[in-house]
Amino acid sequence: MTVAQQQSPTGGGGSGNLYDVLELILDRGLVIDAFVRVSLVGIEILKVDVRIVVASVDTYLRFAEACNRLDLESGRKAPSQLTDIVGEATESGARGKSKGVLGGAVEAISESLGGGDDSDDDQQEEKRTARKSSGRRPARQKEQ
Amino acid sequence: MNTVPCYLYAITAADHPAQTDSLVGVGDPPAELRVVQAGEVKAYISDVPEDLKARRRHLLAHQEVLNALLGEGPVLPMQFGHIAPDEAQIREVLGERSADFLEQLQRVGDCVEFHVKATRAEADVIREVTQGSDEIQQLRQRAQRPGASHEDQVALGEAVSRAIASQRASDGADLHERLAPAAGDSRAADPAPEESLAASYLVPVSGAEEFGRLVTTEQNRLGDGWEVRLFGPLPPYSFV
Repeated sequence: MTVAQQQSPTGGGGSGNLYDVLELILDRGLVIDAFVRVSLVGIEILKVDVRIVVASVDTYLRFAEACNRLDLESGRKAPSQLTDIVGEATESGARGKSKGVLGGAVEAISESLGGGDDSDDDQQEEKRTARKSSGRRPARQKEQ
Repeated sequence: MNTVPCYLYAITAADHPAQTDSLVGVGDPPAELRVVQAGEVKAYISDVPEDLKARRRHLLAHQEVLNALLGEGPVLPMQFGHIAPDEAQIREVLGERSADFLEQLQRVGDCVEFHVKATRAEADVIREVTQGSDEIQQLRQRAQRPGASHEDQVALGEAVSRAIASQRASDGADLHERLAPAAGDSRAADPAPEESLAASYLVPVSGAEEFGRLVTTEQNRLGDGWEVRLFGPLPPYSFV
């Protein structure tokens, strides 16, 4: 079987889209119960953090402010020219355009996964993991 | 007999042509890959690096090994981070479950996974849910009158937040219904809070280009304010 390596808009199998397919690599895929799995403790807690941000009063206030600012009398803003290809739209940066209330939290996760090059700032990652896991919930050491 | 723990990447048919010397495993320096075979199936494995955790470089290595294997033939991708006690136990599992693995390889063999994420500009969603809801408009009036309280703002924000979630779910379901017929199988995930859709599609290799075009068509139909992003072809993580 030959797969035509159609590049995904944000850069195919490279590091560019690691965050976007992270859940697939971590949560999907074949599982063999007889074997152990490495600890995912840092990742689990970062995911919880996002959900907490969503349901916070700060988020509600921000939504309220955005709603209050709406000019309901005028129509929708004039549509700008449609993009022809998916690639063009995405290369301009989904993170930029779609960054909403959660932008900060999501970016924090990207960072902790090592937004930069692969020198991988292990020490910082260790600290962050340690700090988070000492906090609000018991660490889950092993995922089966 | 090798009795050290082994990291697992994928299970394939015994005749999968990928050579291990062209693959770069997890760890630093990267572990060398090898193969354990039992009957008609085999597993691509390596030694386990000491510091193995869900880190960027390990995740990338896992993903790149799987992409390389996928490029040469059907794979059953392992979830990241599986470690077997030794090669003997892998051989045992391969033997016991070979019928199951072969059946799965048969099912996903000629297919790849595409992952689609769709996000709509928040301002557009807020406008639409506000225009479409008397409740939100009333709460908005309360929040805008002189002397409106903090609680009035929170009540408005909470109602908007609920409506946004519901609007996104329904937008996502619509898009999913348009994409799913082009795939042999599909699996929706929990989208991130700012997303309308995060779903995986199992697409025959022969239909991969057409699926890409369909996603582009949908992006154009939805138009300004939407981002529809396509990732793939990927190993069929979501369908094994």
